[in-house]
Amino acid sequence: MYRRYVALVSSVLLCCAGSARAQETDPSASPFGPVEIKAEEVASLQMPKLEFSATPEDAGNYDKYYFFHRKDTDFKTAFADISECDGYARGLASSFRGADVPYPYAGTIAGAAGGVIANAMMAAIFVPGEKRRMRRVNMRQCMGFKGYDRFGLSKDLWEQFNFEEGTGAEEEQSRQKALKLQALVASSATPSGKALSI
Amino acid sequence: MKKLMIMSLAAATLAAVPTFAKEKPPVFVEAKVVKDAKVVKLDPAKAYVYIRTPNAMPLHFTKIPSAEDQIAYDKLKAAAFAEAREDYAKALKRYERDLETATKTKGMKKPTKPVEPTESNFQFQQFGQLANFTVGAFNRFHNKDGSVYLHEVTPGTYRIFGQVDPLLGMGVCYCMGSVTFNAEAGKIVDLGSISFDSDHYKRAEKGDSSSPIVAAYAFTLLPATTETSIDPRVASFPRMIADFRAAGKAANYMGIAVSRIPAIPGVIAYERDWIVDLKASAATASPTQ
Repeated sequence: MYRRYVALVSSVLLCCAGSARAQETDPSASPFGPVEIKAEEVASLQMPKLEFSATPEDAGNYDKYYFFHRKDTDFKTAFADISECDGYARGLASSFRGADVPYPYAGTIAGAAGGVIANAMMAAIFVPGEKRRMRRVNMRQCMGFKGYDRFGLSKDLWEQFNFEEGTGAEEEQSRQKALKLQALVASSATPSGKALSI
Repeated sequence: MKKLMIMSLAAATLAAVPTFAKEKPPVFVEAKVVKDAKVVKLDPAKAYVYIRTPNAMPLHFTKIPSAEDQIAYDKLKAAAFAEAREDYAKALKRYERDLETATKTKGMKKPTKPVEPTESNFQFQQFGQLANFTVGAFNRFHNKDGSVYLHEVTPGTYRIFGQVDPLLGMGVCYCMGSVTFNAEAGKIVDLGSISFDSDHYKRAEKGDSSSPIVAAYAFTLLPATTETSIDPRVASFPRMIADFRAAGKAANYMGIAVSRIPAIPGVIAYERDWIVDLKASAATASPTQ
């Protein structure tokens, strides 16, 4: 019982705090509440390397490896935007959620066990990749609605300030560090390539 | 009549019961499919939701809490919080015992201290997870040349949550903008028609595994007017045209694809991700005398 609670708290603590109050006054406010960062921390962030010589393989993977950028956007705004979009893109169920056992079997041990085994097998096969994909879909959707452009990046450079979530959730401290660097890029980078479709 | 209707208390509602609450939550929303039959009798004590779709598809709705709902929800949340505190007290004792053992035992890993639940960090399921209903994809009221869904629901204000059936977990959440409407007892609230958004629909670029474009522009909602025809079997029952209102953003608690309801003239528009409430704007621009 308690473990379930802890898991719930730790997984949604940062994504959902303060939602109701913010939305009472502004329907466009993030449902995950405001985010804050100290000026000293912003000043200490190091711009990730974005320059690379693109190979055909790099270009073929721009659907997965990219960064966002919007002109005339300050860091604070970009961090709020990235954090909001991360809120929609974290803890995804993927297209395969693990269906409940149909009602006639729900009360039997055999039925329940069969459902659990089937769900576990399906999850092991399909869930991680689909969850990674859905995270990209939601980040691109959200940042696209916010008017950010998307630029391709090599996988190596992308991995320096991004993360994927397939089998488990990104550790919170590491997540926040990555989001801050993504916000720095989104607000302060000088993209050289052509913007991709969102 | 009862045989003509299938009880469809949303499965999501049942599945969403807090696992850590001893108290059984109240039933905030009851919904029943009105089956496709030759003769249809509607209950004047209930509200009815009527919507046309191009084919069989699910739509999920969440209730906006009334003052009474809010009190019941707050009570439920308080009970769950109290239980979490009780569990924490037990976990803390266990932790202290295990820590003492680990400190005395060479090579033994120290346990992780449990997180204390507080008013600020305690998260509870949102009201919409406990108060919702789903229309479709099965049980169409009419299924020739398009589809019609008709559901009996608890009167109240509802948000169109998205095109999703919580049982399947596949679909799109209108988390970044949607609309609400009132469903009044003794009336059919006509939500109009969902149709393909051919003006905006685009295919994802070849090789793009993660394009969000389909989720963004697949369908559009065309509100009904008094001229919009309705199935003759229910035409004698009072009908109200849905008075849609822009609704704010919502958390993606189903963990599905996010999008927003396409702009509806006179109701909702967007400036980037800013939600523009066109009815509120019109009211401000033209104050009543």
